[in-house]
Amino acid sequence: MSKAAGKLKSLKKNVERVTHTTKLKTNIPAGMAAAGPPLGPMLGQRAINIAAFCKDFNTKTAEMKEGVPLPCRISMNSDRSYDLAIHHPPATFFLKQAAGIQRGTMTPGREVAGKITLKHLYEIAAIKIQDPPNALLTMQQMCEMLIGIARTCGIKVVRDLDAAEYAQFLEERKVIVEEQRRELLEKREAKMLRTG
Amino acid sequence: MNNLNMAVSLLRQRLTIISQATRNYAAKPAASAAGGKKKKLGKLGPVMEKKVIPVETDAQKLVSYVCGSNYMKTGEDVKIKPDAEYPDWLWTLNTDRIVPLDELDPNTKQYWRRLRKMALRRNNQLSMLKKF
Repeated sequence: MSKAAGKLKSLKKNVERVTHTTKLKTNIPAGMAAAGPPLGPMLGQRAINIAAFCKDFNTKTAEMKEGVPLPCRISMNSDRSYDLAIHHPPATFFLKQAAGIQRGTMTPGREVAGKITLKHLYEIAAIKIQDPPNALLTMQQMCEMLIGIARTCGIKVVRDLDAAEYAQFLEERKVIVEEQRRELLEKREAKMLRTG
Repeated sequence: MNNLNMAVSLLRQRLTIISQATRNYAAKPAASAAGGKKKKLGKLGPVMEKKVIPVETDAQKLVSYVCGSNYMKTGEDVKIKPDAEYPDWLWTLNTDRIVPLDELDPNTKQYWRRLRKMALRRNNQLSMLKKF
């Protein structure tokens, strides 16, 4: 018993102290990794060579469309090297693109910003289930998760969608979005005038 | 009488001075805060520009393809297949509203999971009301 304890103690002395920094979890636009404020300090704090990382990331995402947000998970090894895992774009990105809207609603649950069919949902789930965190889910669970995410964007999931009807809906929606944008701008300007 | 008038006039003077003093005090912090904020919000070196990704506007395309599914430069979006190629459970998914607790069956795991989640959330909200 004491011999084993002695051996363990000697083993511990030989093994070096491994420092694990917190894992980095961000969305980086494809092909647009830059040494700027969002990324720079995050990498710098973990002592990663920023220029090398940006070059590495941009070469890996060279075939992707510019600006597509990509969730990246970066973990540090003890010898200053990093493991970079690039997932598929976020579910909200896919849902908004499939529904043809630029931004979700400001009041989820109250207004409908876009519509999508169950078939769209299934295809998006098929893409998202390839990500490592979702690997152990069934397709049904993935679809249910996406329904919840769609609810927060204000995207309504329907069984069938008619092109003409949807075009009409999108036209109406455009007007409402313009109104909301204008109201927000006015509020912002009024605030600036008040304090400036 | 004279003394009273003098006292009242003195008081009035003092009050006006005090109110003038408070007026000046109130104006300062707001102005400095606005000025300070403007200075801080300046560009901090090479900031990454936000890129607006174009969204498909043609309704016909939106309905027949999953637009945005292909985010590579080459290649096409996934095409929507006919109904028969999708699994049957897809059509039974609940898309309308969140089923409230009193409509769930207490014999399912889902009911108790939901109950636990609600209780956790309630506990967290209550602990936010505590001082420390």
